[in-house]
Amino acid sequence: MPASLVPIERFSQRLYLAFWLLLLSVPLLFAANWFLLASPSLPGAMSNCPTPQLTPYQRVAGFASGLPLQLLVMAAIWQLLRLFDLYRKGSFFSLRHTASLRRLGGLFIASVALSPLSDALQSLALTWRNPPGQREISFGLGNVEVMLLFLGLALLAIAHVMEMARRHYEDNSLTV
Amino acid sequence: MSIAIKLDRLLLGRKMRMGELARLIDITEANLSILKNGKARAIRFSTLEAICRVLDCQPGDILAFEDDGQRGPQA
Repeated sequence: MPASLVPIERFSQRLYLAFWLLLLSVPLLFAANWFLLASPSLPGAMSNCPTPQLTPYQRVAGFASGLPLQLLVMAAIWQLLRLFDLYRKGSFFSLRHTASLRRLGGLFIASVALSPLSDALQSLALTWRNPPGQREISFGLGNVEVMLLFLGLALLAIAHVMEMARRHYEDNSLTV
Repeated sequence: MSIAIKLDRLLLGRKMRMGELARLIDITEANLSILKNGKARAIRFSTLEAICRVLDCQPGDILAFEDDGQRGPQA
């Protein structure tokens, strides 16, 4: 590996380890939020509501209904892991890079679509056993979702540019 | 690929090894191997000129067009 790439390799190695740590922490923190905390932080539109003492049913329902979004977050971290695994090995232009970036962009956009659904499902699951008239379903889109949408679209555009750069790089490396 | 590389036959005729040719034309053996195995996407005029000079041949002795029935990119 050229000496000029060593700092990138080292930086990528650190980020690779950080993303592993994050990947392991996300499910643990998510599970801890629902099963260990006395007052779990509630998602989306319910986050400002005062948290009552949750029953075991509500905890399981909250955990299960929030799981799809958490899996999406973990899938996004997994793509980052794959990307930085390639960088730390000194690989910068390959089909795997562009595929990872494209998937990451797709996951961000999918999370924008899933987030309000997840919020709605969680609010419904948490209030399902309430007396009639006190059940609640809430969903909404906020700045974070709009930001994620733009980020996802930007990542798809970057993946497209990277694919063209990869082809150019391949042409160059196969020119004798 | 419809462009065939006839480097093998030329080297055999001149009893020259790949490594020696690579050294004489000042490219790596790995790059020469890409050319010889038909994996190259393009060849520089300078490389072609150096090969022709060392092997005392014409570009047509190295490259040949073999129609494989596939249509190339349209202009």
